Amino acid sequence: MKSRLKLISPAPAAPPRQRILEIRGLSKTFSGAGAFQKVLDGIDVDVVRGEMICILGRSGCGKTTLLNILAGFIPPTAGRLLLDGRPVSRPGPDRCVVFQEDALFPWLTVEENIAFGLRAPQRSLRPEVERFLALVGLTEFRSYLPREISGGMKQRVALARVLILKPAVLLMDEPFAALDAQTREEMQNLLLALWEALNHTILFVTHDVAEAVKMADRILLMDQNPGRIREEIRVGLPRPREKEAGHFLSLCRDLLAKLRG
Amino acid sequence: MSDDTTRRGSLHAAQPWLIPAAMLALWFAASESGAIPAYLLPHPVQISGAAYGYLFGSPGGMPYAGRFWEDFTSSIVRVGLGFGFAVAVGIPAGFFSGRRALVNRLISNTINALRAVPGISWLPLAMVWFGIGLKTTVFLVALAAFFPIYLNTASGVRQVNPIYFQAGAMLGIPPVRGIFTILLPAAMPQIITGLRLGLGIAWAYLVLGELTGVPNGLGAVIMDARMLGRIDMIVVGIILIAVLGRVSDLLLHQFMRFCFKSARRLS
Repeated sequence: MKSRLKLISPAPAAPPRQRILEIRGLSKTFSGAGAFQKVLDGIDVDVVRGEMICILGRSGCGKTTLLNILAGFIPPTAGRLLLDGRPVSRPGPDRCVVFQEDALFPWLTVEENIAFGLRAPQRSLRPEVERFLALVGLTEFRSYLPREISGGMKQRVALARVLILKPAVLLMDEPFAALDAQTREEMQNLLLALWEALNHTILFVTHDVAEAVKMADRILLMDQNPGRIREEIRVGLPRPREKEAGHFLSLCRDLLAKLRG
Repeated sequence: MSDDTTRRGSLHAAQPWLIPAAMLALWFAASESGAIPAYLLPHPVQISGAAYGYLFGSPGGMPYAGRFWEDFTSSIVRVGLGFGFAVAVGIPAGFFSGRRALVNRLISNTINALRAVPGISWLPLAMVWFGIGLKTTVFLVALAAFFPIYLNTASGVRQVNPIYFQAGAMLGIPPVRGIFTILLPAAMPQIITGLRLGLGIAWAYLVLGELTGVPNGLGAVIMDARMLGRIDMIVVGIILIAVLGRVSDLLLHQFMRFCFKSARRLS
């Protein structure tokens, strides 16, 4: 199945280490009730095309704020943000988001939610919608409403409706945090399979150490108050990664110690 | 099992009619036993006779005979025009009030003050402004129906979860298209509630508008019958307004469900 998908959607003919996203000196200060709070301080990140980066930090460290700035939902207080060399300021389908909470449109079916961001007339998008329904395994549930399907299925729809737009960067804000352990693992495997098939660039925010180790090429460990990137960890483990393997567990232990320390 | 569900289904279908049937039976018993004299509330048989004559009698034979269709047409035009104006102003005003804090600060104070004024206080002024007849009634109906439509639309669009706008923006939906594809569908249940309340109150104010010297309309019939002491025609008028009010409510709801996906799927 994987190889067939690659035939339909060949990897972009870009050089292997091309920088797609450049974050320079990004800071964010929130003010309220006369007090200022520096949530993010001097964030520098370079993201290479096709990379899976996990931003790992405890809740409250500003990782969701960082994602919201990257998505264009809120402006940074200082710093630069370049996508393919061009500055970004507002939300757009080149930087799609999968939210933690349910953000599907409740009056649209699974199929209509997936087709929502597409512009072309209904007829020409049929095959695309069909293909992404199949990719996330929801072909049989196409005419269900969001309230009629499970949390895991909702996140599959949320994934399909952004992947269909072929975003340059996919931003994921703890997308599986609200799911049970088994469904979370299924979704992680699905995301990894889609990532390998479609070659997306993914920024994945999580507070779950094992999730970060399982998914990431690189892990950016975040400090809180103010939010800074303390350390960058390159995960060299071969894929697919077994959560029971010794290297996996020792890396998790190290990260957990750093996160607490 | 299927036997059981069909029995429950027919029971459910019958339930809305239990109270009207019980009221009718009580009325019948009270009239038959003489507990309520006919000059206060005429016998149901007399009422149905009067209603039959009003609906199907040949005009000119008796007072009120066959007048229904003319009254009905006049009243429905007044309700339709008044309700139409209320929708045309109430939904946009509610929309901007709900989405723009500046607009809300500008108009909500005034609108909520005017809302407290009873419709009957507008009647003398409306008669001076518009004279007796169509315009006064349409004005009163539009004024009364405006408030629930405005208030429910404003609160509906205000309460839409902001994450839908974020989702729309990141999916590349331009703001103006987002109004029609995200904002209004998400607010649809409350907009429908406002429309239904508005239409209900439109019928109430129709009668108020027709109380004063207009020659036709269901309200006019009721006032006319009071002058002539025709209690039976008053009751016929009341029942007909109740029936028309309920039918128009159902039609409105079905119309919205027919036109909008969100109305079918969210309510």
